Amino acid sequence: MRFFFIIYLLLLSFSHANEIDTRVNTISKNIRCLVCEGQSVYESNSDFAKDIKNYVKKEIMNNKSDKEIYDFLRTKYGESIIFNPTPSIKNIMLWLAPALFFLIGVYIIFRRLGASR
Amino acid sequence: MYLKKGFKIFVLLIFFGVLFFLFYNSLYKKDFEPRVMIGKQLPNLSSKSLFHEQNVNIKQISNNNIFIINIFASWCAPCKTEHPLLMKLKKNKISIIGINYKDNNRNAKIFLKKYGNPFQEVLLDNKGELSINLGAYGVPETFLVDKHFKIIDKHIGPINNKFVKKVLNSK
Repeated sequence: MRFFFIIYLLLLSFSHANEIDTRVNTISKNIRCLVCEGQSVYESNSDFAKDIKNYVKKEIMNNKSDKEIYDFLRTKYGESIIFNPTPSIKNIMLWLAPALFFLIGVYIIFRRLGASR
Repeated sequence: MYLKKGFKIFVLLIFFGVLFFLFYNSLYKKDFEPRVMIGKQLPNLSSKSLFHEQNVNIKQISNNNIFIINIFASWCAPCKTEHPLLMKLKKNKISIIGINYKDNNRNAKIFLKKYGNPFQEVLLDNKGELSINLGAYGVPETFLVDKHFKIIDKHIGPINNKFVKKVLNSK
């Protein structure tokens, strides 16, 4: 009985460690390595990336939420450290701008075509 | 009719002007180089001292005047380049607190013995946690802090004469 209990505890701790590693990896993939060219912290082996990964792991083990970890890094390094920036009016405008240009272009073309007929 | 057309052009110009401003601002985003800590309060930084094994808090060391925090390591070549300037600042009575980043204690002590010790105190940062808390991303990096513990400037890489001048002027 004791043997099964130990096995159960071992499996439980193993799955918990796995869960932590998965979260560290997910968060690290969304953090920009500021000393590397276009790499995420997950992909990089630089000291900076290692430090951030250790920090993320430590904070996850301290029961911090993803948002708390991202917020902390934002206050220290700015919005640019996160690959997926928080939605803001400015960001939304930038994303919508190409579509707006396209629609304005289409409108002008149709107006011209209509006028020439 | 002309008024209507003119109004449309005016609206379009305003629209494109706003978009241009947004794009242009994003191109020169100031926080891309991580200087966002400037103007913020110095976080609580405490760690073991290089010289004695006791825990030290930076805010307890400073003596009611501007001071400098310098992140360095014995293995970092640019740190050797900037060392004479740190010694110069020490001679000018600027208090400097060192953060020894991921270093071997023995090597760090040899480094300070060989090139001189400009530091009032040196905190160990073996895991890079103090550096993250400061918003730093490498060595060397230097922070100028005022007597109210507000970070007023940050220098990435080895400090130069311009930075030294700025520190001496802020005294």
